[in-house]
Amino acid sequence: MSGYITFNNYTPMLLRQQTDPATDQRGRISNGWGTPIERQRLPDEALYPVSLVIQNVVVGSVILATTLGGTEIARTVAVAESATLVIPYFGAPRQVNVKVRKSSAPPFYQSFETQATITALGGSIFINQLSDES
Amino acid sequence: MTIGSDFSVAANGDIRHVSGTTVYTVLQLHEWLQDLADDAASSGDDNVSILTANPSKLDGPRSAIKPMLLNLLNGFNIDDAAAQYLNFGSIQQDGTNILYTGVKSIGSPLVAASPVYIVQNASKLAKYWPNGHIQILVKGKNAGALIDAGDIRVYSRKYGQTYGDFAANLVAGGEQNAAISTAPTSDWTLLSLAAAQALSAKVAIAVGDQSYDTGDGNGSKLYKGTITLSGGCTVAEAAQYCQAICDEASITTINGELGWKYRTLNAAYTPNGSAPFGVVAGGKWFVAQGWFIAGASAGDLQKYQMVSHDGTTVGNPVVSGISIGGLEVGARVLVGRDSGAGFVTNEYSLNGATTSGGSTCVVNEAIKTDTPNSGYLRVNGIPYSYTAINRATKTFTISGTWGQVHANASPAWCPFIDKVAAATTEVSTNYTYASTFTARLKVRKGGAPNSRQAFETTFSATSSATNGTNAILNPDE
Repeated sequence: MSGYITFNNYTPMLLRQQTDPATDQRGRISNGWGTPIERQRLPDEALYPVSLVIQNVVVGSVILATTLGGTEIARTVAVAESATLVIPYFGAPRQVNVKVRKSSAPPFYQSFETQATITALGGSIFINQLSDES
Repeated sequence: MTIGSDFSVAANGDIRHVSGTTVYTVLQLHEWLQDLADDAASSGDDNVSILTANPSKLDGPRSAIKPMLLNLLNGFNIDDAAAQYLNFGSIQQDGTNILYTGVKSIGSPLVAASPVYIVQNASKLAKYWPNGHIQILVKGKNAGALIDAGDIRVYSRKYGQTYGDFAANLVAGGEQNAAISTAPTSDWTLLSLAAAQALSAKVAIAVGDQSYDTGDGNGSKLYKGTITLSGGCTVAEAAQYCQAICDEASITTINGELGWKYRTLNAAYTPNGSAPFGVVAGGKWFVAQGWFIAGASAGDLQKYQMVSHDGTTVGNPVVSGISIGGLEVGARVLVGRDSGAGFVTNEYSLNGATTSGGSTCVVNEAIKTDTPNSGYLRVNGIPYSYTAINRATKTFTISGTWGQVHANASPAWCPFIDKVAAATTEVSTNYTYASTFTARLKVRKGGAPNSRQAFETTFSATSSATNGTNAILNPDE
């Protein structure tokens, strides 16, 4: 069933009816003069990306961020002691899993896993990888 | 081949051996899993990558020279078949519910290709390893429960070699050593295994308390089992039979245990790992504690020694005797221990005076082992013969009664022969050999006619049954 929303008592707007309409078919938010100023977002579309900064990472480590359910969000390979993952922000703080591994080439490190909280401003974690050699 | 080719990792964490015969170390397994763990994505049949949970973690740093303690995490696991291709360390998985621990046999000498087997929970483990020293993984814990408290015993028992066994416990993980050494026994296991086992009709093994006195001076002793020889079976053959029935493939039951794991007759005894029934050395069978040998032929009595239940080493007495030839009927013959100038006439001293009409005397000294059980006795130089001795009470019982009273502390001694010759050869009563001593012989025949010059000499009395010499009796007329 379609729905309408009025904006300053002007033309009612058609809201999305289905969960997967094409983007250009989504409801548009008009300023009342026929000029759309926004389009309705889908639930899986982020407001904007934020940065999750991983500090104290061993160069060469593979870093993976996933949802708590295990769905991959972002990954990178550290090229410096600080690495950044771009994480979509959906409008509310959320927890993500972070895995950091460096075990294919020496120096070897034990798998490091933790969680981080992503807010509107992003997030930052300081990790402590343990050597697998000494 | 590489470990990645030989093993697969299923999506559910099952690590399985899929090909090859190479045995990899636990560290190599960990290195391989971790190599996969930071891959961008899984490939082939190895379902490990950054996207999957961490498969493994070591207790401690990686080291190629030490056995590694590996934990398989998050459902990753090996099975018994995969474990056959891993060694040098331990693998714990399913939390702490399953543990494979390394077992390595060490020791020298080891006869080449000595077979090694492992007994766990009273059963032999199925053997998949080659002969010779082993380095394998053995499951010590399953489904959260230790298997026989983690205890195993490693054996090598091949007839024709000394046997060896060593206990190890798997609970600590890592790699547990088992010291095993073997050496040829070809000098005494002359029979083939089949021939030795075939002696079962001539060697009866019975378990049960029995007391025996071999007469070696130790008195009656308790034994926990008896090995009875029959049908002309020699002691050497019996020793081989007893070794053969403890071979790895033995199906003979001894004291309720199959021969391949039989170690000792009584839990309180110290087992003889190299030969559970005792080794043979220098032609003598040193029979394991608790076993009594019955039925040995007279010629074999010195070819074994036993250890009674109380730990006393027991042998058979060496029967010695003295025989003097060249005698003439009517000659007085006296043989005793030599003092250097005459006889030792103070071997004993009376403990109390003899009583008129009595027939016993007690001496202060312990009666010597090589004093015959019956024979001749002189007290204060007066000759008597005795018919019995009680070594425990140091008492002689003479034939007849004392003809006179001998005072307390009177000297006494036991000649081996003290008589008038009734034949050209006179022999002593047999006695138990204790040590070699010098004996002195005096022969006199002075009465006419045919008197002879006094003859006196010394000779060595050894363990022989016919010690002695011939008298030379020259005419004195």
